[in-house]
Amino acid sequence: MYMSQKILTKTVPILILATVVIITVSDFFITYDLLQNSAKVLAQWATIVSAFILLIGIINISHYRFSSLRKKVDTKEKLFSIWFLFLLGLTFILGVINIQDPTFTWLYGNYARWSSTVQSMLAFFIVAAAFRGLRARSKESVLLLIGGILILLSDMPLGGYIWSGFSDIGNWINSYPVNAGQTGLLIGAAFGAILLVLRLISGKERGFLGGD
Amino acid sequence: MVTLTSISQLVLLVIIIIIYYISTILSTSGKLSLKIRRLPAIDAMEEAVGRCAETGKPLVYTIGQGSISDTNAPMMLAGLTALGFVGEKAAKVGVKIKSVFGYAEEVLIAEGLLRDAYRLHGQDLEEGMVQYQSPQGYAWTAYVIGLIQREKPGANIMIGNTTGETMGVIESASMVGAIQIGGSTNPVMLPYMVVGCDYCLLMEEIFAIGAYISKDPYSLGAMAAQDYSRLLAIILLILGSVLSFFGINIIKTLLTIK
Repeated sequence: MYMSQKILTKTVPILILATVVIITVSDFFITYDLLQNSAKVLAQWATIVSAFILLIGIINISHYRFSSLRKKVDTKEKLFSIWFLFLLGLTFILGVINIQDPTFTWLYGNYARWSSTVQSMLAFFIVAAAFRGLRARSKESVLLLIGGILILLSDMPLGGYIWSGFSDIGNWINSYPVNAGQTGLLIGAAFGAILLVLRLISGKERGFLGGD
Repeated sequence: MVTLTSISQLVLLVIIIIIYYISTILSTSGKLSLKIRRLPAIDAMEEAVGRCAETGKPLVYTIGQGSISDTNAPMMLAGLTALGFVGEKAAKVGVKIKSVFGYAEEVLIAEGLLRDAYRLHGQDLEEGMVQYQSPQGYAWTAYVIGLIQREKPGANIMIGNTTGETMGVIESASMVGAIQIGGSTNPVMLPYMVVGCDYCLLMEEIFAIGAYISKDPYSLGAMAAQDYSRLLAIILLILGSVLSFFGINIIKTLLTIK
């Protein structure tokens, strides 16, 4: 890689990242007008850049769908591409004409129903995973199994009919061991994130910028 | 406004930075000999690529839902670092990666990473290897589930900020018999990942990917700093609990975010 290219693709992004991180973190701790205004402007820039990049995303997916129409792919894939491009075009045109248009709001409102459908499928996925996962194969999995059964009995109406104490046991498990464990995990992850940012701004972690 | 809590947080941050610099200096000068423990999930990435090469199937790679321009940035960057590593391994043996993203800025980074990796091995980045889909969680999930069912990948890797979509993607990949590697910092989703994946990176382990791959003394020093910082947190927790037991709440007051 040429020196100038390396500066442009590696050094400049790291310098921008370091500047943004230092300004934003300093603003959190120090009350100073210049810092506050700079952090606010940077946040606005991030919003504007994200909105602009969305266009690149739309171009990426439209290009892929158009090219799949030209390629020798199976009919299902072609139909999916036609359906996708039709909906993208329709939503775009209706939205540009009038965002309050009832057809547009109906179309967009449908997303909530489709989203709920996908979400409801998760219940079946969770049951299938629990069936495979909750098996007593080792000491740890026995503990997981016992914990799972107790929480199930605590949350199911059937548990309450069998013994009213299951609810208290479930509450205790969620309030103490689960809460303490999750807090511990979060503290560890927070330190991991802080140290990753330190490695990023010192230019030592450049994996996301590609090979040298 | 400067408060006692913000001062104590700043002091804690400064202590972590000092620990980081001391550890990295000692490690690079050779005064601190460090070894990173084995992380089977990272070792298994090569196995996953190998499985895809043997079966001639693609590898599906996702980094979950989150943007690199918000608080999810460290997780997303860790996921992208792992994508660069997997991309190099895949390009070497000619395995096609299918990666799907919910945010366009990640598409640009992923395209750069995979293009570099495939070019290094005399191949071009094909269309559809890096795909943008909706930032809406369940729209993205529906697409990834469909992609897995259609392509029947040999491996499914998902490292990053995994949210509600995790279970759908894991179970779909399980149905087609794909080897699965997961990694997340979301404690709510982690149990699903542990149950569903063959290998799993737990919480801060995903931030160690870069250091684990490079194994250079600087990165190992940074990893040691992570452990020392955690030790500091444990000491503060124990001290805070003991003092609170005797009715002295100074540590609790200093570290409580209002």
